[in-house]
Amino acid sequence: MIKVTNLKKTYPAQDQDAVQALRGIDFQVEPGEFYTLLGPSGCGKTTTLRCIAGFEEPEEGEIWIEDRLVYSSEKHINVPAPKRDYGIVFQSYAIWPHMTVFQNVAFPLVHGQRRVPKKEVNERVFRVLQLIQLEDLADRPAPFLSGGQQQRVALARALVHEPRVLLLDEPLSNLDAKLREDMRFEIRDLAKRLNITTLYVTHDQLEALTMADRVAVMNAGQIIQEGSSLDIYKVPSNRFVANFIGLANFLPGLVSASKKNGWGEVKTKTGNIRCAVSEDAAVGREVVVMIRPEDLTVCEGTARPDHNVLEARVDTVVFTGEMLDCWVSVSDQRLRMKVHPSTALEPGQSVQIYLAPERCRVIASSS
Amino acid sequence: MSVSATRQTRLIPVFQGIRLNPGKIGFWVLTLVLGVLVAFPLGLLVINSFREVSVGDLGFSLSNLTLGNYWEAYSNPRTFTMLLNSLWFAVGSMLVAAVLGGSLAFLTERTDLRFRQFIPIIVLIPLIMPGVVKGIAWIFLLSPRIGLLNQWWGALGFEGPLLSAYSLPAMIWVEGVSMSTLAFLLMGATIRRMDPTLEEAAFGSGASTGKVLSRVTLPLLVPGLAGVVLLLFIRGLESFEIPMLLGFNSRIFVFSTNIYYSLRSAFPPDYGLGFAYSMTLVVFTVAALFVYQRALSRSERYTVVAGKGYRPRLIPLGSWKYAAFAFVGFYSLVGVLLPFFILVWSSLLPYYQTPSMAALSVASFENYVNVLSAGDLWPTLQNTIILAVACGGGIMFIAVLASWFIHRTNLRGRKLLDFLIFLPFAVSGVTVGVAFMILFLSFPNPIYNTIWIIVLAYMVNYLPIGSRFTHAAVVQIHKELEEAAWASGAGFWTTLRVIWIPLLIPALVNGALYVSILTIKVMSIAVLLYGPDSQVLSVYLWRVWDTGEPGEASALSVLLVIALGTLTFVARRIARGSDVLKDS
Repeated sequence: MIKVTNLKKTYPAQDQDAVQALRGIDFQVEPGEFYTLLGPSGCGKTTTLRCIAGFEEPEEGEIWIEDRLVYSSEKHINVPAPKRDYGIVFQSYAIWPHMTVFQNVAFPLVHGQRRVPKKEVNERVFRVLQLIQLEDLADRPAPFLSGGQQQRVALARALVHEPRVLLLDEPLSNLDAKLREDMRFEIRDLAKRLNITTLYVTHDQLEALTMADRVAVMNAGQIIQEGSSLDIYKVPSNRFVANFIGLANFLPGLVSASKKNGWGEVKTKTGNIRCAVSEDAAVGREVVVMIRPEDLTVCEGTARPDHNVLEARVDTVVFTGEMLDCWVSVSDQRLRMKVHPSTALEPGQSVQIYLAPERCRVIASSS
Repeated sequence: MSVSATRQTRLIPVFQGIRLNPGKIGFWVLTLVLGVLVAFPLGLLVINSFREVSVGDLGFSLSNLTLGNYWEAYSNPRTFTMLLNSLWFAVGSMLVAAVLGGSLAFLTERTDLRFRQFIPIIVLIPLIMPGVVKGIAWIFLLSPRIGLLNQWWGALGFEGPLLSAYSLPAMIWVEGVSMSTLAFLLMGATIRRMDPTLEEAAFGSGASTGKVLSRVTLPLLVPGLAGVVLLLFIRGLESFEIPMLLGFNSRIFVFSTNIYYSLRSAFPPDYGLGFAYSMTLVVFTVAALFVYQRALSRSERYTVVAGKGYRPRLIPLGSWKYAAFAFVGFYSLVGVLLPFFILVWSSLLPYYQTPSMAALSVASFENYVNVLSAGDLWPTLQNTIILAVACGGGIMFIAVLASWFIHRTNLRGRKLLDFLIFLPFAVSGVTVGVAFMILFLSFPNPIYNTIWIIVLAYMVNYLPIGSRFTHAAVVQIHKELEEAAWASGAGFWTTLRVIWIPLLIPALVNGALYVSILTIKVMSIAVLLYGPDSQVLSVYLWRVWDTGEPGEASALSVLLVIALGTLTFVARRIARGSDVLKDS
């Protein structure tokens, strides 16, 4: 388990105001859970991880690793990094270049807090090397490893002392695309098999969506939204989240009707749009209607719904293999639309597009 | 992440939580020691240059304040002769070095000249010759009557010598040839740093080779090359050995030799004048260095991300290649072959004769026997080894600690430490020598006239160079390498022992050897501080020469060059070994 409450940190900046890196971070990673901090660079996700690891000292808040309070501003507790029990994989892998694979992996058992007898070192290093399929490379000097192998060695070193918590700081960002995809599944699989509590930091939405049990989207030192990947994708709480995870179209407007059953209407420049509204969407409020490109459909045949149909002109059509990626104009508003490749679309063509009301989300206009 | 990337330095957490932590104490102890060794002596020089001083009256005191020293210096017309000599000498040798080294660098880096890969070897070989040795060799070559080149000149039917060794032009020439190695290295680096795609873009726009060179390449290189030229100027201004060997006896003084003359050769010593000259030299070098830093930062602005491994386009020389070959041949002759040859030749003769078959018949190893059996050689050798080893070890120890504090912690005051380390670079070796002389004459102490005062002075003088090695090494070691060790549960000392030291060792050994070699070669500081029992080899060699034993001086030169050559070879091998770590 990892628990972080009200974590705050400021960096002094030389020629400007101090940078507020963390503005009160709260989250809890349950035992065995795969939890991801997702956000653009500079959002504070790595700083959060480094505070948990003990490389940075926050100014306020509490950090728990398992059942141990490792940092508390109030109680003046700051357990130094070596005494906190976790495994970590760095973005650069940080494989020591003057050691072999074996020496790298054995380091926590030989020099760390939980030293074990020599015979056991051997046994445990080979067990973990087997786990990541590197047992043949034990004697290889570190400089002669490929990027993917270094990644595995870093994982082995993080796991060899059998910690209950694993911290991963953008571990895949230095790998090539194909390897990255393989490692995504492998790391998640390994974490689940070992039932280890994992905190994963990334700026890659695909990694977050495919690997995590739960995702926390961060921006400017705050957690904006927390939830399962599917929930966040379907119901983003604001414009930033909608944009950061997946693609989205935004239609600004005013709420013109809001019913108890969760349906309402938003008056936009292109007409009234029926959509799902939440309770706080009072009539007259300025909002934005969000709809994903894949949720726009082209009306074919003669049967037309009586609502949410917009007259549009096709601007560009790009064939990407599994779909047509199009831009269409509705009066002066441009919308992104992804449709099945069998759809007959030509640039310049006039079409009617349908916005399924259950896929239209009303979100606050300011992000 | 951008937030963390903007701050490269952070206090390591191991230190946090402990109120009076060992790191902070170590930092302040180091800063204090360097303050005493670097800033305090220079402060004493400043103060005493404004005092009416005599032997026994030096010190940290504000009594007898006067501008008299400066008045004495600048009311004397000889001062202006000295100033002009210094400037001509510095500018002239700068030009010679820049033309020689720059042309060789251009030929090596950018032309299709055959065998150009051997040019660096030819240019680097003179590095194993100390300045004293070069001076001796060139006197054998350019002495008005017996000098080999002048005799050849006479044999061609010309009247008078080609160039007299004891003249300003000869000093300029010898210093220029000597500094051409540095010019070659720095200008070569400047040329390599340029992004070849900038040139390719010009070629792609249809420009001819000549246009590309004059409109793109040269303008891009100018700021960098200007920086190099300024550095050469500073070096020329500080130079001691060549002006000493060639100009001292004919009273062609420059700053360094005049300071030496006032403080150690004149009787009674004229401290006031020596200090005033030292201060003037400081003003000159600091000003030049200031301009140099400006030029450097400008040239860095010009550097577009480079080092992608593209080879720049080589310029076909065509029939110019014969001129290029002739030039390289000429350089090999004057830079390497003639000086080496004449030293070996004169070392084998009981008294100097022009090279001929007849003279060869009296050749013997007598000079070598005499040199090696001289009673005071062995204490001198012992001192030299102490100097080299103590400086090599001491400098790298201080430098690695300082680099670590400066680049890996956010301790307050690390800017001060950085400044203290840089300070000796801004003042010349002679000035450091003078400052140490004052320091140890000011306070009663047991180390004046021992080798240890020389050790301390050299340590301070070469600290900036040593710290360049450690700076590069420390910056190169990724921070996550040490964090990975902490995360694995290793404490501070284990991390130091198992991660830091093994990773730094190649750079430390390399840097130690480099500064050791410098302390053996350079005599400008030792010559101000040596006493009867604290001679070092460079000073000893110069005195053997000065007392009129040219054969023995040559033999000793040859031995010294062989020893330095071996050391340099070892250092380069180690440097190559450490490259393995660079990629990771």
